[in-house]
Amino acid sequence: MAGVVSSHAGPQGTWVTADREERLPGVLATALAGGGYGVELHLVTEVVPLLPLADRVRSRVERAAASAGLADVLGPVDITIEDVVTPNEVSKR
Amino acid sequence: MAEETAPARETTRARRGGHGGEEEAGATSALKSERGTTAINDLVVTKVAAIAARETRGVHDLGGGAARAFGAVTERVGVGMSDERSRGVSVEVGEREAAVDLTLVIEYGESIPQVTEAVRENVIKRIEGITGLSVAEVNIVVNDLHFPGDDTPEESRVN
Repeated sequence: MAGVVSSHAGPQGTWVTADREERLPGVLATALAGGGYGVELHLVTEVVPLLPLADRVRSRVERAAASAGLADVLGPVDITIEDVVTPNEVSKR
Repeated sequence: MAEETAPARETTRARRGGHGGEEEAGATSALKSERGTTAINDLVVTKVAAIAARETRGVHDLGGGAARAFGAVTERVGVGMSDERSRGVSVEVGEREAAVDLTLVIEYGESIPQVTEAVRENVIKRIEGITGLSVAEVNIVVNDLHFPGDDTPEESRVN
């Protein structure tokens, strides 16, 4: 997604969801007491306006959940911008 | 040699930490809505402030003498322990406000009041534009002046 460089697994690499086939760094899904799941995303982004970018990411997650038939169980999507990188740093990655 | 300039606005210092108890490095500021929370790590605000200061005309470098010397050593050794982009910048981030402290080296010949005011305006513009946080104050310490010949090594007196 434009503006998002990568996800961020955290200083100790603990922000990870282990799927059966792959690990998803920077993604956490937590079962909520009232039912459904809250999603937490930890992101590294470009130096762009961050609040609109977070809203676009949130909307995309909501659309993806809806298209997978999971709209009813999707709770809040919490987004943390952990770091920003300049275009030079992006090209070095 | 340091000169401290007045803060941009007379406001209360930003409260520390968006989430309860997160007052150490890596704390975040949060903007809540029904669809979820958006949080921005302190490191992000620090880097944006450093980038904004560096892109201002008349600013040679950021950081105090010791920090710059240490940065030069780690760079030469190839150990990237300190992030050069955040050197000379300290921030406090609250839920909706940020306060920034900068230490600058300014090019000799430039007007210190004009450069610091330009830095202050650019830092406020960038932080508010990129993070959505309101900037309560930008405090600037001019730590040193850079002279044009400072970077060229002295010629050896012997062949």
